[in-house]
Amino acid sequence: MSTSQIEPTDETMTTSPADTDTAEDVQNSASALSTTSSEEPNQTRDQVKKEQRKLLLRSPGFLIGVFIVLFWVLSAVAPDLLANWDPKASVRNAAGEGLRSSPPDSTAYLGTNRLGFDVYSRLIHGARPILIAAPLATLIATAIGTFVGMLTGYYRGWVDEIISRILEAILSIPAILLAIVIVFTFGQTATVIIGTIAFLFIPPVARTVRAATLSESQLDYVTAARMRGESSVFIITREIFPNVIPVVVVEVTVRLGYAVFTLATLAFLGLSGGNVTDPNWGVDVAQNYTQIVADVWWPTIFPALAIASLVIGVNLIADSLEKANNS
Amino acid sequence: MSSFIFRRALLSILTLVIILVIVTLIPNVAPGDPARKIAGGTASPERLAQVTESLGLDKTVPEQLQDVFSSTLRLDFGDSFTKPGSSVTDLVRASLWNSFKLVLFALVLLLPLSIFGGVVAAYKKDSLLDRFIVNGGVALSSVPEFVAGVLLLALLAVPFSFFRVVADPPEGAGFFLQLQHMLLPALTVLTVYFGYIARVTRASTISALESDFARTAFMKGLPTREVFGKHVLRNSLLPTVAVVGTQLGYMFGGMVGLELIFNYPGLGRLILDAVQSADYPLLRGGVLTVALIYMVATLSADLIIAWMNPRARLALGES
Repeated sequence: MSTSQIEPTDETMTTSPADTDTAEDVQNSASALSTTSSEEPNQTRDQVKKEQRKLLLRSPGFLIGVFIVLFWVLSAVAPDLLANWDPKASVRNAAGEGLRSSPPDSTAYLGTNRLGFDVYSRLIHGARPILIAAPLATLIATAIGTFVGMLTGYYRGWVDEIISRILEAILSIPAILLAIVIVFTFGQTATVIIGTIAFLFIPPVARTVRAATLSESQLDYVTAARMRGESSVFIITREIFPNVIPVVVVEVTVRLGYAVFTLATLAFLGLSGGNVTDPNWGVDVAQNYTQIVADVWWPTIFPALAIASLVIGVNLIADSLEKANNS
Repeated sequence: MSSFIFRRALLSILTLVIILVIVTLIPNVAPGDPARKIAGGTASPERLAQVTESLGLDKTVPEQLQDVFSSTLRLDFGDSFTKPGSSVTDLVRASLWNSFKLVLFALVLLLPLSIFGGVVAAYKKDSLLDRFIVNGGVALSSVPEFVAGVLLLALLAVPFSFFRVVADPPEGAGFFLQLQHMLLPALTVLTVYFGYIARVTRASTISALESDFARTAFMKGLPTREVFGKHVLRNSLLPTVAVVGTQLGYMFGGMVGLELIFNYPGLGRLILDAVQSADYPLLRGGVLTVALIYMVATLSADLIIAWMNPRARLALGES
């Protein structure tokens, strides 16, 4: 559900009324960049970057997103710092009795599930699997997708035509369906799952980077480089690539959100690459949701909210980066 | 215009061919023996050979592709492996009908609400309501459907017995009972898509409102309702149509988690079941159907846009 093509242009000015002067400055310097690039390109460019960064740090969406993501990163890096129970052992109260499906209280902050495991501690420990898999898959997809997108966008021709058709075909099937098919056929291991998501995210990255490369390569500075007799490799890596980086950065964050989305959905469908008792948000939702109707909602709703918060956090960052790019 | 339709249709067919090739290749590259997976570990060698033959795995890949293409052209997808006696066509048709009912119901709720939300947000740009619609909606639309599904389950189905937990109505249920059963999954689709569609509508409505023709319409004293009805919406709904078109494939086949939670026998479930039981003919039929829906939906979206906006016809014809 990429909204990038239809991104409203008006949003650059909506950060807050107090920001209008900064926003205008950025607009001015941005237009200055495009018209006076021959004069002092570096100075103007640095200024634009500085203003963009300022705008970013003032945007509440960006800060909230960073805060949420950092919290889960901390949970993934040092779960024992935050969690107070073993995520795979039953919680026992002071009398030594095991607590099963007990509601949130001071012993188990977010309650226990039907196996007696602490929901809160599983939440904290559940950050690690998804925060390893999602960025890894995204990075692989971005690296390959950027490579493919830049080559096809720069050289065009029949190879581009063929690759674009194949990418389009893959994009016409919901990624989650293809992911299910591939993971089931190749085996339900963590490696296969990460590889599958990386593979499925190559087409959208390549499409975005291709479009950016295409519009860059029609600009005068590329023509100038060609006239100077620069090699294609030089033009692609030194001239075009630096200008495509902002697009790639936004694409990385957008894809990261989708990677979390897809990984959680796969885990919910039983494709987690791990054991059912391993702490994993999607698996926990799948294992417990039938109990909601019996009013035991906590083992399902908290991991569901964890998934939601991480996706929303990443998307808030992606949105702010995109706005900063377009300003 | 006709050359544009022709070109688009040709590209769609090409895409379907590529998908068919990919799906046919899957059992060939799968590790282990798919035939043994289907027949079971204790199957006799005869049974195993039989399954291998029906999978087409005793043939070379080009021969398999030839078989698949000729049978697909005859619209004959063969019989399901796991449900002997039922043809893939019948199974897919049943699931497709179920998915169609759910998607239609969801769209009937979703489109008026989200378009209205988007237009109001655009009209009251930068107001509190606008921010609420845009930020809240966008946050919700990035959440997986199964997450939205369990949240609605806890918020609505537990306190209000009106909401049914199982979306599949009992045999012979009347129209309204069916709707009642499908209400929760449809509301989940609404939750997930509202912000997305409202945001697209808002952005295009704002640019339409800022255009000269809208300003002129306001200045010559037309009432707001008329400016929107006759001038603004006609232009601003184009991107919305395009977005709905691209999302239909996902709504039909991608909401596996949602169909699982509410136990709804739609296309997503069909494909999940087919994969889990290595039922390749059923898988091929299901995936091809989802791809076909995507093709038809995006193509019709483009045609609607061309019909609504003569300017787009030129742009579309070129791309």
